[in-house]
Amino acid sequence: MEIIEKLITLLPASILETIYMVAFSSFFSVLLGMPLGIILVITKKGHICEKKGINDFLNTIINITRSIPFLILMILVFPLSKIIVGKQIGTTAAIVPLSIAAAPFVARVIENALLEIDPGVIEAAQSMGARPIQVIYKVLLSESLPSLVLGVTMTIINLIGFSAMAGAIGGGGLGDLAIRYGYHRYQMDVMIATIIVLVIMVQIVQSIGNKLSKQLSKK
Amino acid sequence: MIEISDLKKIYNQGDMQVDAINNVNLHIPTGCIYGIIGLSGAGKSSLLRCINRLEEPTSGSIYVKGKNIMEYNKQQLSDYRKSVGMIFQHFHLLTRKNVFQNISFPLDISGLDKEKKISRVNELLELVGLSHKADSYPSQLSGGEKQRVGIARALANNPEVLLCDEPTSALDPQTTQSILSLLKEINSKLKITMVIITHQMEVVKGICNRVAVIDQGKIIEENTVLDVFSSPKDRITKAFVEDLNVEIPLEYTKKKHPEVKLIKIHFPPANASKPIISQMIKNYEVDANILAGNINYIQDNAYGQLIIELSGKELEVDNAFNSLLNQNLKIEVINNGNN
Repeated sequence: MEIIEKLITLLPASILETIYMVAFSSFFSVLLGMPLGIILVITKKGHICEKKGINDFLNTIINITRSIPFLILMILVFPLSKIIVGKQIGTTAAIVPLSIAAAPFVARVIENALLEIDPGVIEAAQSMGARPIQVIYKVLLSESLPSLVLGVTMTIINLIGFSAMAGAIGGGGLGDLAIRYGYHRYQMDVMIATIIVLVIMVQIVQSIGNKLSKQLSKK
Repeated sequence: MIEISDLKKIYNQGDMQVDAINNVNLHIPTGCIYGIIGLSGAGKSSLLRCINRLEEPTSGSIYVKGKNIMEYNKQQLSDYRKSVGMIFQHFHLLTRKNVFQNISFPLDISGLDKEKKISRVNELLELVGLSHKADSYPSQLSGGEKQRVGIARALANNPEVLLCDEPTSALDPQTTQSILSLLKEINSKLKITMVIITHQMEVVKGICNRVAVIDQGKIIEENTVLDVFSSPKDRITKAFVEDLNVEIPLEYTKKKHPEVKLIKIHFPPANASKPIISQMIKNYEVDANILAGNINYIQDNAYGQLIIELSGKELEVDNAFNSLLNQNLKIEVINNGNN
């Protein structure tokens, strides 16, 4: 009973912190990554706004950002967190590096989703006199919506994992709890409980994503 | 309607230069169903895409309704494309939109108001016979139905030109016929000019008024469909027309037939519907045995060949044969009956 009491006092706050971090960083990473992914696709050779220079530049930047280990990126971004949210440690401060780390991932996910679209459908829209912006909204994004939903699902799940790491260096959340109690104080029960909560969270997100994507797809 | 002059399209493939279109000149009259036939890789698809500049020609000019479309800026090009519909071999429908939404898609792009859009789409659904499928999604439709949606969509903005990119190549023969008759009906109802590229002679035969044969980026023959069929000039044209030619059955040639005269009659269009064979049998004492035959209708004109075995007394056979000759028929004698 002592364990349950302990978990009841510890878990809810940590769960809320994790949800808070993941929700905001998912939102901001999609906000940053979505335009990057779209630009990556439309500037490709033979696509609606072919621009080799921009495409090469973005590819390089995205590859560099994705190569930096998250822990190091987080430390690198500390000064930026200070500028944006006023502090460099804490749950809110962790949202900045989380968003920046996930944005290039989102860009790639969106790139892949948009590339799945049959080029013929884009050509058909162009043959109707659609302007590039109309092609982006009415064809690219609209047609790939089911894949986009799956991509965002994947991003959220990744961010749940990343947020646990952010917790380790002062971000709070479930990762922080697991390390402080489970690792430093050898309280295996707390560690196992946090892992179970994380597994449940991932399951819920994935099944909602799958369901939504299936509903949106008319194939 | 469409005047193509000195059109060239050169692709750079590494160090190689490929002439996809090589000095093409074409005149496509208003209201005509114009066929462009060629083998795959002949350049017909590039040529078609130059007409709405989905493909940018390397040089040359294309005048549509007296205006050089090569000079259009982005906005003018977008407006011009709204007056040129296009349908595709693989339909290219939006998978997440139902039939109604697919047909209204070009109207969304044009920014038509909602009420006009609904009534226009209903009109189009009626025209292509899909009113009952308005709420279906493309994945629930057959190939023929998808192409009907494609046609309705292409006609949404009331275009004056319809470009058809292998419209029936992905369809079975029966569906092909129904799509062809729909296109023909639309052509006569709406007086719309159609350019159809295809590798299927039956498409040209079925609905085209004129045809251009393209090979390696060049137009090698251009004429009315009837003339191309009855006297093909180029080797490639002959190959296209060949499947309509009639040959003597192989089994027949293996045996000897000394007593008969074997002839092949080519029907000039005007005579194909006359009962010349039965008249001949009534007038002369001969037996006529039809070994092989093929009468095609190129729109309203019949064209074809018959291989006939004539037997009887030698004099009667000769007289019967001469009577056929007198009717202005082109006749080949395959076997005279003596050897």
